[in-house]
Amino acid sequence: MLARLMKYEIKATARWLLPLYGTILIFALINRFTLFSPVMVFNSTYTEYSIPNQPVFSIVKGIASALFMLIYVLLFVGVFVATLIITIQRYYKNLLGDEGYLMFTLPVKSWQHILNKLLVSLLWYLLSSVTAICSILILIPNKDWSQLSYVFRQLKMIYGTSGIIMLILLVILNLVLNILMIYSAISLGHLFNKHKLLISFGMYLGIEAVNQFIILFVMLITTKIAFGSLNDISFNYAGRFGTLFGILSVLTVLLSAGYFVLTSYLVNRKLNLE
Amino acid sequence: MHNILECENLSKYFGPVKALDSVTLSIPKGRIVGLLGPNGSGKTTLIKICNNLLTPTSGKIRIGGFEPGIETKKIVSYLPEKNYLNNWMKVSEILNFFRDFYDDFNMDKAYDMLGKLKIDANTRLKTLSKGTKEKVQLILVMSREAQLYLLDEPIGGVDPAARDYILETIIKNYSENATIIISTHLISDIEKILDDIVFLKDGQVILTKTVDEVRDEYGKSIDALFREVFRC
Repeated sequence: MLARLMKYEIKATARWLLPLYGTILIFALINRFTLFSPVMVFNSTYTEYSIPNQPVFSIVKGIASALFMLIYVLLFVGVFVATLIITIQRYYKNLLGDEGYLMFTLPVKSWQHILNKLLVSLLWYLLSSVTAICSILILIPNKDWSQLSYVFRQLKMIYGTSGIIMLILLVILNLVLNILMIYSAISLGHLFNKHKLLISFGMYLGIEAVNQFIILFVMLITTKIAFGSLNDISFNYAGRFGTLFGILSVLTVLLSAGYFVLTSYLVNRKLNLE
Repeated sequence: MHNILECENLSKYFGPVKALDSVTLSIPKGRIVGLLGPNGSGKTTLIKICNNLLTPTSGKIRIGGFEPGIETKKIVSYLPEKNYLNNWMKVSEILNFFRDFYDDFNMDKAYDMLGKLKIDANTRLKTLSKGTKEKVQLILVMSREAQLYLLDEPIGGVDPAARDYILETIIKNYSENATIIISTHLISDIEKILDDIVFLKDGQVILTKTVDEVRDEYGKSIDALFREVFRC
């Protein structure tokens, strides 16, 4: 049943995001040719671009390339904003709006509905990230790729390979936590008769504050255990990122589980569709 | 088992408001039941509890022997008063959706009804009129071979000409053992198809009779009796 739910969820969301992905990739390609065209000349200092003294035609080209760049940047931000909006909108509208009458009378457990929304959201966040990275790779001329690998080497040196893997894991776990926080906040907001979205937003801030408090509290204790005295943190910590990330990961998983249970409970027992 | 739906002292409070107040009700298999009452009498609340969309405050409810949940959702076909269609889908896609989730969905029946009501399966739901959407929803609900149909205001938004076809559809498309519960205040329109009536007032059941009993005992139509009982 979960697979069938996911099939329809992906269909419902893909029609917004896939065209957006296509558009940003196209604009990355356009920018590759306009931004780094001979019209724009690299200064030897490698820090700024300048438009050399050329006929009006070239200036028009320069303006066009700036415009294309602006559109690309807006699209880049837009992809993530759109992903977030779709996460919120699909939960709010498809489950708690009128469409909820259809979804919640299907022979499916409510936690499967929530898991479905969560997994598909997560999928889109990953695809949005991959698309954004691809668009950067398209944009940057091949000769500049060595710069990128330099950045990666630096990262590897600071965090270590296991540290980087943990970091990526932690980012994903945090994404899961955040999506579940959004679901919890919207469900809590829905318990009220008026101003549901506004209250949901307030609930999210409240949940975030509670999280921060718990994380800070646990981190203070665990760093003390893991690193001895708090003052020692600045010394000799490179190899211990793994431990730190591990603790944070476990904490994130526990919090996520808590919000998943809360959301399921609210949806199952407390909610009254309008 | 004789009854498809059984409620025992079923209550639902919204804060201080008693939407359902100690409802005890048994509805046998194979009947068409009118759930009748003025606005705010608890009809929709009762139907929502049957569909597990609301949790009762107290009391018991059994549908086909089960508490509302996955097992009852498999045998209950529900038409809410809301438009619950996913606007981005085509009519054919929502039919596939129903086929994917309900084992008792009869695709041929659905296409047959679409044809009779002249609805093109390739149309996007978004572009349909409000009345046509209601018809599509009713087709979806009646194309299931369910044991209990719960129809909340099924004919409210469609024109009188389509009403007759829809009522005909309802009668034609349910099997002998299935029960249909129709909630409405358009009593005169559906009176002719009802077997039983349940009158709800302020969350309480004030009358349950068969239509024949009403005619024998009161010598009135259901519509006239309703007007008398619920006179303001």
